[in-house]
Amino acid sequence: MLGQCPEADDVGQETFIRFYKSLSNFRGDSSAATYLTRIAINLSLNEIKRRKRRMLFFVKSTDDVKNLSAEMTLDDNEMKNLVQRAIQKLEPKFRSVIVLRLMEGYSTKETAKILKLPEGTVLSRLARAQQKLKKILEPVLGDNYE
Amino acid sequence: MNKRLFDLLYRSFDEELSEEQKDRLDKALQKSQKLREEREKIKNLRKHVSETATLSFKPFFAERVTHGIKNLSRANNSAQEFFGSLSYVFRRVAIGAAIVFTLLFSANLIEGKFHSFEKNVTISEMSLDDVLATTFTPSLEDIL
Repeated sequence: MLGQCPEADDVGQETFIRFYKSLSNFRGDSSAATYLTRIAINLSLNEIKRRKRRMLFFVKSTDDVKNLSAEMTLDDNEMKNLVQRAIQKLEPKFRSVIVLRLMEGYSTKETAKILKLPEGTVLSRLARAQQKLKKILEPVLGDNYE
Repeated sequence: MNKRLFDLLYRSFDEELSEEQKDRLDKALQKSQKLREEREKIKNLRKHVSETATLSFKPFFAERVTHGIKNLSRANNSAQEFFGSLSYVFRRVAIGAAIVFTLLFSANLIEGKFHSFEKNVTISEMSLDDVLATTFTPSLEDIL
């Protein structure tokens, strides 16, 4: 959700600490993994909001994801890095479905449960998120198809 | 490209389509080269995204979480200790005050001075005027 950054590690730690604190409230209706993921997603969304507020005071860095061209040849790591950056460009509501469904491998039903959304909303957000990602990454994906 | 077919194509990756929808999509895929290309693009995009997932935390993650939980328990313990000792002291003071009150009450009762509650607990009845009258107002002679 947050990409590779120190904040992501902090959110990871905080997730387990919050889980420990709320163990008495955990009724076992869902699996511990789902419960942990829900905490992590909520904390990540809070962190994204915090980042946005911080961004109001700082000049944005140059956006290399926008400067992609079809002539670029990328190795695996560069490709991963670019995909990660493209995901970061998505709005949080689209990013969360991409992370849960495509990166973490949760089913649409589980994703809906974690995000407390109807399955139909998850599916439509997923489709829109993929369209947005495809649009961002189209130039490089063309050359890096299998 | 037909937008409905395009949506159906996306949905086919994440949900079970009905037989009718499957048929419609299959037929469209057979006919349209562009739709087939789109399907490949989506497949590749999904593959790249799933490969981006980072499966590990930084080193010593577990230790840091354990440390955080220990700190939390310690903070809880010190708060509990503080409130525990506070209630202990309060109990002692309350018991002491009750004993003193009972002794004063009994002593006054024995001496036969039981006239009023205030007198019994040796609190004299004072009005605001009494209080103001006792205020020390030094004159110039007193100072000299």
